Amino acid sequence: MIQMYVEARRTLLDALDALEPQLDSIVIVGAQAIYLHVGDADFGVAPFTTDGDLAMDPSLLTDEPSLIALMNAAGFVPGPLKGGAAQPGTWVNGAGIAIDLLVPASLGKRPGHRGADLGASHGSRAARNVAGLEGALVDKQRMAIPSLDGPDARVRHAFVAGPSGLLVSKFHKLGERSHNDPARLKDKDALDVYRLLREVPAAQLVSGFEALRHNAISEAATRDGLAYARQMFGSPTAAGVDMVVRALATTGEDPEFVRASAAALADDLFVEFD
Amino acid sequence: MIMMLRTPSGAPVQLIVEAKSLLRPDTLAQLEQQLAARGLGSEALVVAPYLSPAARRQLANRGLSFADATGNVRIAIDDPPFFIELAGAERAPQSDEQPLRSLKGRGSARALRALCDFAPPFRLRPLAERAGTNLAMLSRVLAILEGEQLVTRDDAGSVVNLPVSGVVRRWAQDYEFGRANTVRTFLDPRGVRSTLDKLRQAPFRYALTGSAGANLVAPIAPARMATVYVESFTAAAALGIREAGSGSNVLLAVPFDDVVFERTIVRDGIVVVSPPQLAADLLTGPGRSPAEGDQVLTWLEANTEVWRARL
Repeated sequence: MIQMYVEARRTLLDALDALEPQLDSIVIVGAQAIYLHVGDADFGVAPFTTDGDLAMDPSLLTDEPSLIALMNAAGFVPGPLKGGAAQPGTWVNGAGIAIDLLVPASLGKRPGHRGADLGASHGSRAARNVAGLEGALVDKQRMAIPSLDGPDARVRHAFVAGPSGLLVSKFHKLGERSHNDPARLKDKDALDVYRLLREVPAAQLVSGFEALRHNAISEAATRDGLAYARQMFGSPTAAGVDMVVRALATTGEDPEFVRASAAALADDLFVEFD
Repeated sequence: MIMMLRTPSGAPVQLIVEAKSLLRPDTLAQLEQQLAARGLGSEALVVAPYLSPAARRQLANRGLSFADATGNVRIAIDDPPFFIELAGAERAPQSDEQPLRSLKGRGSARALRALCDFAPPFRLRPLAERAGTNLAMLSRVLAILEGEQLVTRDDAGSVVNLPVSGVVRRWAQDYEFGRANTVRTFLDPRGVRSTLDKLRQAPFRYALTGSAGANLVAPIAPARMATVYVESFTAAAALGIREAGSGSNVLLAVPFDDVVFERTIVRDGIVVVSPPQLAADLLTGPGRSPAEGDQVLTWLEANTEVWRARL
């Protein structure tokens, strides 16, 4: 086991322990959630960085105890300034490993602001607004999260976003950056999409998307996410497919197969929702 | 050539012999024209190694005399009146003596597979019966292999030694996977592993060959292509794969002969062609497959007890 995975999982468990009183409002998202579903899918590419992403459901969050107090008590402090401005929602431990607390943008009280206003107790800097995360609050399942560290015997049970919710959020991230800030596009995000499309059975993805489309919380985010997906993965030469090919460049996967495969898997999803 | 006969009364009958190595009903009209152009009719005698019942009937209808090497004879002449009719073979004789020039065809493939799949020593007749192979073809294939010193037989004619890798390499000179079989390419967007998983549950007859098959027998680099013999391309629907050109990772092959489904081995729950078939397919395949074929040959020589059957 690569030491980086071990560290990342340990920090994630630390954050789940820290936030235990608010655990019902929390859903694990991001690369670690994807890893919990599909492993590294045999690609031989590091499936995640050390960061952990936790989505918060404001409607399930109680005023007390405060997220700030809980995180501080566990040794997490607000993350470093990024580009001169503080980054709301980023917390780091003593080793500098980050946990991001995220709120679906349409559910925050201050749309348009980076920081999510979670009321007096939590303030507006404990978590940040992120577009497209709504699906993670709807498509979620409780899973056992074991430590990857030999001597650390911890196993925590927490909500993990389902594959469809994770895909919607990745589609948003890729689509928005492609429009607004292409320099911030990361090939790894497109590879995460490909991992999920390839490893999760098609029927499970389709039923997951059906559920997201019929839930008021996630309906709009899912529609927009699928529109982004068509732009990024709509053909073997679409921008998102190029990113997957680059991410797998050193793995021995045949680029022509990756192109055909990514487009075909995405199309399997699109035809269900035309 | 002119042949002279005498009628019982002593009258001479002169026949112009027209020899043909092969005479089919569809070339008869042509022959008749050739004879007519030379002013010949009933005085011509058409001879051939074998004349089929249909050919004989048509020759007789045209008033032409004939004789074949199996004893079919009909000579009918009006002046002087002369008539002979004798019956020979009703079927073309097995041309056992005719040497085989190539190991390309399905008959040779069946014979080669029989020779490779069973451990010597063996006699040919029991082998032919066990392997469902034509005995005459087996002898002819063996003659080629003996001519190239690829097989040893004892005085009684039993095969006592047959190094499989040499025989498979010789087969691969004449056989070619992509030409012998009808092949189409497909895409399994979830990868080769996904197709292999589905084969484990496949409700239809198949046999895996190529790199993916080699990988199950003698682990090599992970295969980028699953090459699968199937009886029909309808298997694609059952496997959930779609026809594709660029980027394809599954190749379905409807085989030249059912022998590819015979004497298969099972590895990791997947049906794999007999190792000699696997090697022959790889040696004549594209890209890096010939090198993988070499590896399979090394493996099968070292592991004959694992796959080679006793007669």
